[in-house]
Amino acid sequence: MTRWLPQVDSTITRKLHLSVAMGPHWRSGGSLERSQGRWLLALAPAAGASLWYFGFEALRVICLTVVFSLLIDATIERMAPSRDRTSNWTSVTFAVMLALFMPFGAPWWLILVGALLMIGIGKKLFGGYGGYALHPVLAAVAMLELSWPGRFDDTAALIDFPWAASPVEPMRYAASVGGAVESLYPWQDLLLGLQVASIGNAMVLFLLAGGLFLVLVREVPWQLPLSFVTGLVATSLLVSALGDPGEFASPVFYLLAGSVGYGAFFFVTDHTTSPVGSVAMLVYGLLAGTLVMLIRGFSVHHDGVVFGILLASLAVPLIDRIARPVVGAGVPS
Amino acid sequence: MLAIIRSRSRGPRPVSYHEGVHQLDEPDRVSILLEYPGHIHYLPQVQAGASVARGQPIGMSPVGNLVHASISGTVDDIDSVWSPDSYHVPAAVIRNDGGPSTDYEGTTGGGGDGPDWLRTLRAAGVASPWTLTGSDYREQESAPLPDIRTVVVKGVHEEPTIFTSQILLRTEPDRVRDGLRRVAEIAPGATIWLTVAKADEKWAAETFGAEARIAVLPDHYRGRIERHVVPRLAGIAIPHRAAYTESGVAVLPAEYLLAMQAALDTGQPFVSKCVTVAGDDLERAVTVRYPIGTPIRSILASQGISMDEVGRLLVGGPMKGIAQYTDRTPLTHADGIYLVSPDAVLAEVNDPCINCGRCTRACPASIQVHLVNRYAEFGLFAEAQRFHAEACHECGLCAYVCPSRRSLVQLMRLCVSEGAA
Repeated sequence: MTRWLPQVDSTITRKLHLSVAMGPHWRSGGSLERSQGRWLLALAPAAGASLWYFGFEALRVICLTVVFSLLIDATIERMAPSRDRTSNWTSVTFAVMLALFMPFGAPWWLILVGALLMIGIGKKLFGGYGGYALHPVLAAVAMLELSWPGRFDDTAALIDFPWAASPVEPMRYAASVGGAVESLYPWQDLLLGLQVASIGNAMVLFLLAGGLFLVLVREVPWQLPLSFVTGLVATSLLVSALGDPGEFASPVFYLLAGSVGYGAFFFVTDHTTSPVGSVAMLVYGLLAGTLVMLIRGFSVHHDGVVFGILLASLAVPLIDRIARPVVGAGVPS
Repeated sequence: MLAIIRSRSRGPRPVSYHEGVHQLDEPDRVSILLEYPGHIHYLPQVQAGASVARGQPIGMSPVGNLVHASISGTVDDIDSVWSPDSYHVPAAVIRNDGGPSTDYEGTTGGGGDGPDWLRTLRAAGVASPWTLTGSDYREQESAPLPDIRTVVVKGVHEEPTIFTSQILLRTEPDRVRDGLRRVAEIAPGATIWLTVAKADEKWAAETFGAEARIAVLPDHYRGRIERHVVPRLAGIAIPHRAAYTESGVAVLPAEYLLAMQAALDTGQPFVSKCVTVAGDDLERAVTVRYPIGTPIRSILASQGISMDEVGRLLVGGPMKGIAQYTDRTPLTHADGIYLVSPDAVLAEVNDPCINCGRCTRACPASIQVHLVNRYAEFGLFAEAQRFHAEACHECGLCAYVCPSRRSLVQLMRLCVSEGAA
């Protein structure tokens, strides 16, 4: 090599610092941190509404969840280092999402257990962000709900709260009185989050604003929330048509009551637990929406969003088999 | 905050560029590569110390393809150098001894067997009939001439920073028309397509509409990827690892069309080529005509670019380009140079895959990249083969959109090589 170099050339002695790598050398600029930033931004309206309605209490729950989650994440990261760095902000996003699911006045230990279940079991046990089959937040909420039904009771938690709205969760009331429930809950109240729920999971309008933001910046594909809502509405129309008159409320009520908006934009759309192809996403959303409505109509769990999405997530490996054929496959003979 | 909101998913779009071609002075020395591994190799026809004129044959392949001196001077050595494709290959190093630049006048020989036009092309160093870029060309394949039913002339490059073809169409439309007619004579009955950029649509239809069918390509990279444009135009499925000629399709860049035209009409050898120099710090891309084998540093020096301001030196474009170890690499068949500024060099982050599926949705070949990538990461190459990793032609869109900035193209390539083993 050296022989063909120019003999008199002072630039030879200069050392080049060229970086070598494989293409593409341009990237879209995305990163996990930026993605999490978008999710947090999208959660901000709902969290803000929660602070407006519940004041210091909401602040306490959100802050405690974030602090506990980060501490647990950092501790596990120290014990078992992985590429799911604590600094990638996922624990913060998940913590805020979990906090919005917490009942008003949740005790600190409930939050601690929730954070432990979410980060420790839901996320880290499966290998960190991206490794799990079930959404850590939903898994933690499901475990809390089943383990402490009394503590995780939104109606009981808000019983003494000075509140203009009806003092019972709309979906719980619907389970006992059927379609008549609609007259007790004006849709404007439901939309604004003036309904008994956890501290943030029913701030429908504000969740919608955040969710639309996520869709518009293409953080999440539009197919998922749309098909989820479609599945829910279609199933509610179907069960209304098949059931006795007055047994079920209108689709609008099912859309606005409880955490459907939260689920549609923040949990069905989760990157890891949703399928990848466009058609597969539509199937998954429809399945989740259908399951949510079926659970609402025919089971002891009145909200159904958590369990509906968890069940649909279990079917994702199967749904993911719906894929377009590969173009240009085949090895020349 | 704006950075959080911005999103680009169809790949980069073209940068702005200077119209016209800047002629480069003859450099101090050129290195004429004598081997393109897997494609073609030449046996040297000259010895060290020999004096050569521009256009003089200095190497010949077994079937009679010639390679010529691109400047006049003295053959310093037959040595081995790093090629732009990162192969260590033999090359004839010609030193510019400052003498007058003369064109070779003698007989060239070479050409081998075949019809007249083919022997003329081989003798002019415009490699074989349906090849030219080298990417698709295996010399032994040319023995029985392929039956060509579709010819695609690339008037627009897939990389968003390369404008050689676009500029040549604009500056030499008459020669392009002649070239298209020549192609029609060589491949009678074949459908001839000319791809053009969206901005040139109307003009190209008026200028070349009689000689070729015009295919307008969109501005974004995704719509320009050659391995997808060509089968679409030809109307057939072509496996990504197969040569186009096996399917009766020939693909040639506009520049080689001009080289064919020059060889057939005037017997002129192929000794100079155009390259577009673009970079993060360059306001507009510049296109330069250089003698083949010119070191990259001479081309950059002619544009007043100092290597101190370059963090990564790419031959090709930012999507598929090959990063160079040194600026002494001789340029031969490259269409582009891209300079990444030091502060824009991206570290490979390789965060965990979050299964978002953007790679799969971005993949123009519809490969389930997210699954292949996971299998490959854990060494399960046999499993990964089920998802047709071999259809990958490394366009880079998967890695472009990946929020975890994973080295997806490497993983795909690893998968292909492990699967083939």
